[in-house]
Amino acid sequence: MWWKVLFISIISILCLSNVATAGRVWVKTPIEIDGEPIYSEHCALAMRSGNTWPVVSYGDYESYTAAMTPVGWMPGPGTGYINYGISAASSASGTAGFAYDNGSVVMLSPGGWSTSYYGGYTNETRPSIAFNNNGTPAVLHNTGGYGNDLTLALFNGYGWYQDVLNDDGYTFNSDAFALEYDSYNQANVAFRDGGWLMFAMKGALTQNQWEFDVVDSEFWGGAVDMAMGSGDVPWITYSNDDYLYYATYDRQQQEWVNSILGQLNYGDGCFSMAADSTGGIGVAYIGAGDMLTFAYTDGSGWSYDIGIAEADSYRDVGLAFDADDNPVICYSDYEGGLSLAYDPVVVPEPATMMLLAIGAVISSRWRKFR
Amino acid sequence: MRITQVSGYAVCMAVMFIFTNALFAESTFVTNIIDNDGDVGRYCSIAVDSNQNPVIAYRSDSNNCIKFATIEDTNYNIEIVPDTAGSGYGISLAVDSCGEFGISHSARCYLMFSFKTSWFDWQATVAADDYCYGATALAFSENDVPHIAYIARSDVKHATYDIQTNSWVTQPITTVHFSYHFPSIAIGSSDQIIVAFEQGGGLICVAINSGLGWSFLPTFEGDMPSMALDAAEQPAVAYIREDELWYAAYTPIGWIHTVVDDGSEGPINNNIVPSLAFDNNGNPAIAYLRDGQLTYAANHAGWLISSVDESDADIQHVDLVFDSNNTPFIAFYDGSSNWDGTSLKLAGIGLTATCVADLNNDGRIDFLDYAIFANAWCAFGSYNLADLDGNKSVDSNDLMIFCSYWLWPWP
Repeated sequence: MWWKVLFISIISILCLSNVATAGRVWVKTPIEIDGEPIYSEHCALAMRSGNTWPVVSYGDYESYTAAMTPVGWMPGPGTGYINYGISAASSASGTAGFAYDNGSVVMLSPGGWSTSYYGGYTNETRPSIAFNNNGTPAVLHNTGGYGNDLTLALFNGYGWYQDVLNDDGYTFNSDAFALEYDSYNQANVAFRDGGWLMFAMKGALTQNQWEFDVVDSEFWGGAVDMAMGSGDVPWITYSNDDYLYYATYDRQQQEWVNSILGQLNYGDGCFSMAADSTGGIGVAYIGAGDMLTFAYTDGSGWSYDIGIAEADSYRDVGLAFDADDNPVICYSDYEGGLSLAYDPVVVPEPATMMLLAIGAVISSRWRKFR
Repeated sequence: MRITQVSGYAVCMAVMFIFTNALFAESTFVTNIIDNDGDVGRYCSIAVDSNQNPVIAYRSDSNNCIKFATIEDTNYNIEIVPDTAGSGYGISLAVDSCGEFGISHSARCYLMFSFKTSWFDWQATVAADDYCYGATALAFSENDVPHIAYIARSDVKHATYDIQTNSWVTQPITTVHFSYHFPSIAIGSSDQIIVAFEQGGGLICVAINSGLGWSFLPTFEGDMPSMALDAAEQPAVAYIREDELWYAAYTPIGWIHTVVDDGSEGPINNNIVPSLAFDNNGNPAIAYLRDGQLTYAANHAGWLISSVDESDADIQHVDLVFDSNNTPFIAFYDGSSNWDGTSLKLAGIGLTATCVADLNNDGRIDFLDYAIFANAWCAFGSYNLADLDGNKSVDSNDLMIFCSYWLWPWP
């Protein structure tokens, strides 16, 4: 009988291994324009036309844009010199937007490409762009006010209105920050102030005043990202001592909770955070061994896809979800240059289904004969 | 008293019905020549752009390529679609939610897709290389993903752009080898793909893919199908059967077939595919040929049939579309409009009529037109715009026609 036990064990292992990988088969394609690959330090990803079509912005010193179309990747406008990075966002009306540290915004809307100048120009900090519920772009930057003050620039249809974050006269000089809007159309901001990770909100629930809270009092890292989860709960990721942390607000305990999400391959690390349509939170980052990793939570715990691709950990990653809530990541492949990784909806392969069926039949017969 | 009330109600309804019918009946079509530069107009396909102006893609036999016309009342912008040399068969035009234009067509056994946006000009790509030689049908999903139904050898196939792999993918809808023709395609709001086509043996087939593979509605007898989705996103088909024009609507109890035109007022041209479209109120309308004349049937509590173009035309392709104001536009190919070439024409309700004597196409007949006419005087033997009667010479007969329009449109 030993051979039956051995056979069933092998079948079970095969079945389990197939099931474990069946849900996560990432499709990777290079981003090429006229057949030429793209090599770039910076990249950001947004989606247009109902979160269907990817749009990327990239560049080392000059910024560029490109949009996937049915006739291939088509180039868009650039905005000149950039230094620190690119931020991306997608609006519900199908517009993809990018903000640069040279003070520019580039958007691809149904009417085509447009450029604007939000008013910040330092080339020292990466701005953060988001669309409010009216589809209006807003950019959080650190160049407003009378000095290097964290400022929210909101497009009012004609120009950009500057709103300096102000806590009873105290303003903030920050080099790491992120902006998102909640369902109440309130601005939610996460930012580093000295050694603190701070959270700020302004909108109807705060009587249109900035309100502040301390998320983590031990934050000396260099990057922050944020997404709004289910129930308008903010989720924040931030890099600290070669680790990627996450923080979220526990409504029941009325306190911020934080923990390590993963290990980064490079100090400040490259990571990107986004929420899907159900409020689930995804994080793409380059973990240990230069492995592009995707982490996802629906609020009840994190699942990980490690080793999606071998990626250049000194280059940016960008994450977005498509219309079917499939995660899409842009990253720099060591060999192929700037690439997209898709996690499509996957059903178990026929071979897996067959192995499962064989395993089930043999198991039942095994029980019967015992 | 009750009888009186009922009778009054009935009279009011009858008056309203008659008035409504009269209103539709009196809506007359105006036909304008859009392009007659050589042999043009074959395989015309019409759509409306984001400004609700009609746009037409069609073949230019003279230039051996596809042309694209944007029409704003009497102003026409006509361009040659690049990279379509040797192409232009089985043309289908669609506009996505961003106002971007897509054209599917077959060329040299390839299925081609040309695309134009507000931020880049026409670009062409090979969507499939599996011996596509016939008609194609293009539609965009709500998320602007193109879907094409086409004929590859003797199969009906479906092609779409897979964003995840950044490439076109194809799949057969049916692999049974008969002679398949005239595909039409529509995409439901939940990305349901519906394709109708003529199956061998005089049967019409409608295939549906909701994401789990293709399934088939019951086939029915007929030829030359044209399919569109009704307000409930159920397929409806206009088709020819035994020299009659029919309309089939798919309902929870199956296909409901009605005769639209029994041919008693003139024989139905059974070699021309009719064109079915729904207005924004969910009313079906069909453009078709009856006794060689372009004819329009619209269903408003019953089919109302009106003649659109009674000229001595040789119409071979018709395509119907509605704008957001429920104005119907019909693009059609006229193979006999002048003796040295063919023409693309547009018929529409509310169009401003252009005049044959408006030689500079500025909307009026004045000395500028007369200057062109005078320059062409006594021209003979080749096509000339000033040859208004089409007798291959610019002579006194043309002058009489020209004079009859003098100072048009003023009386």
